[in-house]
Amino acid sequence: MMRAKTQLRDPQFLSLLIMAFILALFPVSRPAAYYLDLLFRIFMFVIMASSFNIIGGFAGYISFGQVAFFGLGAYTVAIAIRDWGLPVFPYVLPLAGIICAVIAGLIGLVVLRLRGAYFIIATIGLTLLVQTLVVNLKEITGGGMGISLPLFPYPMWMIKAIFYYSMLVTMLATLFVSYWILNSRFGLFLFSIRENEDAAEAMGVNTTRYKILAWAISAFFTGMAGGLYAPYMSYINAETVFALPTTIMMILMTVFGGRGTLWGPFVGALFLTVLSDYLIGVIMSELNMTIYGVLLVAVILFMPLGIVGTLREKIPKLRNILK
Amino acid sequence: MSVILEGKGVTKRFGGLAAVNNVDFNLKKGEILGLIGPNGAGKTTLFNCICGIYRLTSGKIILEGEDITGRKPHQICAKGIGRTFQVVMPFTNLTTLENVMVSVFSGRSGIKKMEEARREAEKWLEFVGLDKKKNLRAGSLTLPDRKTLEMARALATWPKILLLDEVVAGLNPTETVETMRRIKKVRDELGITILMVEHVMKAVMGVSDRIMVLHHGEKIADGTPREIAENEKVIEAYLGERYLL
Repeated sequence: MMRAKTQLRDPQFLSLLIMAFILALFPVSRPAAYYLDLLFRIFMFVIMASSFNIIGGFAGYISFGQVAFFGLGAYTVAIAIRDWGLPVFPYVLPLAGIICAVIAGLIGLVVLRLRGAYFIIATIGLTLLVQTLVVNLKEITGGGMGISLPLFPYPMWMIKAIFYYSMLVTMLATLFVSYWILNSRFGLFLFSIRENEDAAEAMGVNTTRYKILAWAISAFFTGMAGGLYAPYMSYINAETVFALPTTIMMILMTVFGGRGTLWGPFVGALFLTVLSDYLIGVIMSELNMTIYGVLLVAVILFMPLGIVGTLREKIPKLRNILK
Repeated sequence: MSVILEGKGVTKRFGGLAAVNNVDFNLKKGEILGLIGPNGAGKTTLFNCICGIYRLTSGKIILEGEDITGRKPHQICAKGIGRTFQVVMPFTNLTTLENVMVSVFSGRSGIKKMEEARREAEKWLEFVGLDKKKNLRAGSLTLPDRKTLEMARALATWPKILLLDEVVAGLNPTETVETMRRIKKVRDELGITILMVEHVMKAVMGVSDRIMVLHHGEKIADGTPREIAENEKVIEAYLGERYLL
């Protein structure tokens, strides 16, 4: 009781609740399917960016292996639905997250011993390894053909709404877990690892344990996002769900919005997804990627802390809500 | 006085070089033991061996009768050995208070709640005199303040033994005296045993109950400050001339 009360007084927690409320009510206004689809994709990128933020922003381990968990989650759900039918979907979705978390934990035991550029290279290798495995295990994964899934037998708008809510709940879970980490000793340990791992270890922080835990949590939510993506698209293949540029996207969104902050990945994912949609839809030319690129370079050059990080530095009043 | 920490034949080789060679030492409960020696004598290596940063080539380290050789640094810290680093390593982007809170959570206090940890951390900042700077980023502190923060961070883990690696180096005379007073205070008020590496003779001779001298990785002397100051071997290897107490 006491605890719930102190949290309700925390502006950051309140801001999360308000956002949850607004987004939960949004489909009631019966928006066009396009907006549900757009928000679905935004939520998906918020999940992925926030998950990356847990290992990359909080613990300082720039993982390029995130898309491997996205793909694994997508394939887990796709294979289950292909083999056992649509009704298993609600059960395999969390399972996909758990499988990804366990795999991240096991791989982390080895890979998280590496630091800096070596860790980055190892995690790129991880992505390529998983992708190659999936392409070649034809009996299970369908190889290069990918997997086609049946459509849910509902009207289109309703399918969009179901997936909208599923992704929304997953996103809120990711954000609330991030909030909890930021305000706990676990978060403080992750920061200490990011700032100076040797000092953290000497001060008694079991760095190995917390790094692995952070990566497992990160993989769990990324895998869930992948698990929702597969049946939504109703077709996946290894090339699209294990695409390295998706990892780069997650990292860019996080850096753009402000890494190590709660709202940074959200702002980054929102802004960049809408922008890229707008550029593709309105300008319809080769120019859109150029504009996109220039904007990114500008933000990283002039606001290295990202949008949220910079606002927090410049406007002290906002510090409580943006911490 | 009973022995709290003991090293038996501690050896650390890097390839062919024996940075620490067959060193026996003991640390008595409640004493301040100074560790001196020329650059490259193996002082910091010995520290890193005790803290578990290096794996010993051979030998044993025993804390209160328990063999702690080969444990990881965080396990050694949990056993009650805290340390500071010669090159300060603050968590730059965290506040001074948060720096100390990490130790409160990770150390032996058993505190799990944020509020409690904050109060405990404030207590340590007050103890070392950094309480007015608790909300500053550690990266914005001056060198003397960073050194003080190192000590607060180590103390907040509730150590039985505190290893201080050149806490005085780079400080001006006033700050040196201040730091020496603080070291005495840690021992006298908190009863923490101290092992300190130091080059500043005034500091180490002034606060140590006993001094141990390393040279080329080997122990060449062990005794009271007066004995050390008059020891011919030490004068030849390190002091250069008779040190007048």
